[in-house]
Amino acid sequence: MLSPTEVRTTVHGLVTDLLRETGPDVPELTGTEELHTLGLSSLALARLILELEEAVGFDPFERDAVLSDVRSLNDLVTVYQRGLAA
Amino acid sequence: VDTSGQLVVVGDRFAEFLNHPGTIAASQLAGRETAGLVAGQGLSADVLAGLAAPVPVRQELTHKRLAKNVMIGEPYTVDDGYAAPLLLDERCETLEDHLTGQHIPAVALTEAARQTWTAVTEMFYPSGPRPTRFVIDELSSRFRCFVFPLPATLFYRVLAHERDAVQRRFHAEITVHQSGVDAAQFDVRFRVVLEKIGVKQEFLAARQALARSTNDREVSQA
Repeated sequence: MLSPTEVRTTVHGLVTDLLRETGPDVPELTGTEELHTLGLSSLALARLILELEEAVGFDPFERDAVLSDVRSLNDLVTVYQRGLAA
Repeated sequence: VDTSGQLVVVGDRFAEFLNHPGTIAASQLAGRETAGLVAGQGLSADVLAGLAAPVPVRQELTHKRLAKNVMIGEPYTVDDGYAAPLLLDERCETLEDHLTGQHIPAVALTEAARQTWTAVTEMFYPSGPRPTRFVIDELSSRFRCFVFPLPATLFYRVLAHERDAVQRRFHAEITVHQSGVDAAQFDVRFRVVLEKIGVKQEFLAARQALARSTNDREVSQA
C-alpha cells in the first residue's frame, strides 16, 4: 500500500504528465493550484482518475467522494489519502 | 422523376407518394424483372440487394444495434470529402412511428447525417482497437426543401480536425443532395473519446448532478 507521501507524489506526477501532453509549459506544482486553472477539462480529469485508480488501486469517487468538492490539487491528494486510510 | 421506362421502387409506408406515376411499391416486386427499376427509399437490405443497388453499411460503423436502423450505404471518397447513399428502411426507428406525408421527415435526415459522420470517422479516421464514444458539442441544421423517397446522397466534408491529450475534435458539414438540389445541410462539431474515459466522465458528472440535485432539494425545503 502506498504511503500518504507516495500518494501525493503519484498524483502530482500524473497531473504533470497529463499537462505535458496538452502544452510544453508545465508549471512546477505546489498543490495549491486550483484544478480548473490548470486547464484540466472534465474529460481530462476522468482520464486522470482512471490513471490514479491504476496507480493506487482504488477510485475514491466510486465511493463517497464527489469531484465538485475537489477544488485544488491538495484537495485531490487528500481524497486519495483518506481513501487509503479508510 | 424520370418515368421514361423506369420505375422507382418505394417502401409501402410511403403510400401517398406511391400514387405518383413512375413509382412501384416494394410489395409489388415479386416475380418482376428488375430491369428498369430504380431503388428509392423505404427498402430493406434484401430488396436493395435484389435490385443490385447499394446496400446498408455494416451496422457497427453507424453505432446502431439493429440492422433495420442503418440509414446509409458504405461511404466512399469524393473530390473534397466523402459521400454515402441514403438508404432508409421503412421499418427504421424514425419512420415506423411517423405520421408521414409524402416526404422523409427531418428527424430521419438528422439521424442519417449522424450515421454519416460516425461511419466516415470510423472508416477513414480510425482510433485504433480501443472502443470510442462520439460526443456532439454543436449541431445546426437547415432544411431547404422536401426530401422524397427517391435516391439521395449525403456528402460529408471535414472542415477542421485536431487532437489533444484526451480526444479528437471534428468540425464537419453534411449535405443531403437529391434530384440536383442540396435539400438539407448540417454543421456539426463533435469529439471522439476513448469509451473508458467517456464512461468515467459520465459517471463523475452523474454523481455531481445527483449531489447538486440533493442540495437543491434541501435548500428549497429549508
